[in-house]
Amino acid sequence: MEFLKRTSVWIGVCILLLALGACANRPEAPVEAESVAETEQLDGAVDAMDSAEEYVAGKLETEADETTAGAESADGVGLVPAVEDWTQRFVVEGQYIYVGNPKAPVTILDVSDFL
Amino acid sequence: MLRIEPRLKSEFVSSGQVRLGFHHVLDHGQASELASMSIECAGDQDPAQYWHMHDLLFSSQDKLFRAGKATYNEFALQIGLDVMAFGSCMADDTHLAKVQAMNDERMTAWAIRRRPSFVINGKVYAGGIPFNAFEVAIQEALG
Repeated sequence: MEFLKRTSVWIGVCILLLALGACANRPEAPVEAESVAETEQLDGAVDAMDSAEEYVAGKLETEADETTAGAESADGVGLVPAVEDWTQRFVVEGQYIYVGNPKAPVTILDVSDFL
Repeated sequence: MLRIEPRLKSEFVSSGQVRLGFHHVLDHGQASELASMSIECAGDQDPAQYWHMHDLLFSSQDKLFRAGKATYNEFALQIGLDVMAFGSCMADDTHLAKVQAMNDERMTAWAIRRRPSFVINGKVYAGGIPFNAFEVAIQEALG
């Protein structure tokens, strides 16, 4: 009888230890997965920002600040570059100041008088 | 371009397919020169202000025939330019040679006599054209 009591106590202790071990181990895998996902997302965001910088030539510092602010607004979680509104992009090229994507496939010149 | 430009911007510029530029035509002597110089002086301060002044001038067309430099200073104030720097740029005719050269160029390079005219990827479209003609020209240019 005494043997059965001791055995059941030991089994109880083992079950408790196993449960504690499982609880302690459970979050590790998802945390690692999240870290990898975040790193990949961050790399993607940095790549996107790098390519956006190609279009920055000649643009205002304030616009660059806005782009940075757009990326940072996510507080470092899932960095997403701000969506480009090309109507707000102004670039000096030669004798013209263009509005729009500097690498747009189509350029339209309005040959006009204001009067 | 005045009526078509907002639609061009919303449908083609915003998507990154098209960019717009402005080429000066001076058909009304000094009045045209002042207007053209004013957007260049605005652009000296900020490329975005070039287009803000451009939009303001087209929406104030009725005032431009009689507008002197004081009127342009008011426009500059209205869009938030440094009025002293703008006034100095206008007073010095800083961009007069540039806008005159561009006016000459539209004749020598493109033989454009009618306005407004448009140059789409180097191809001249003389006279005002409807929006659907722009769509066709843009699709052609996109291939």
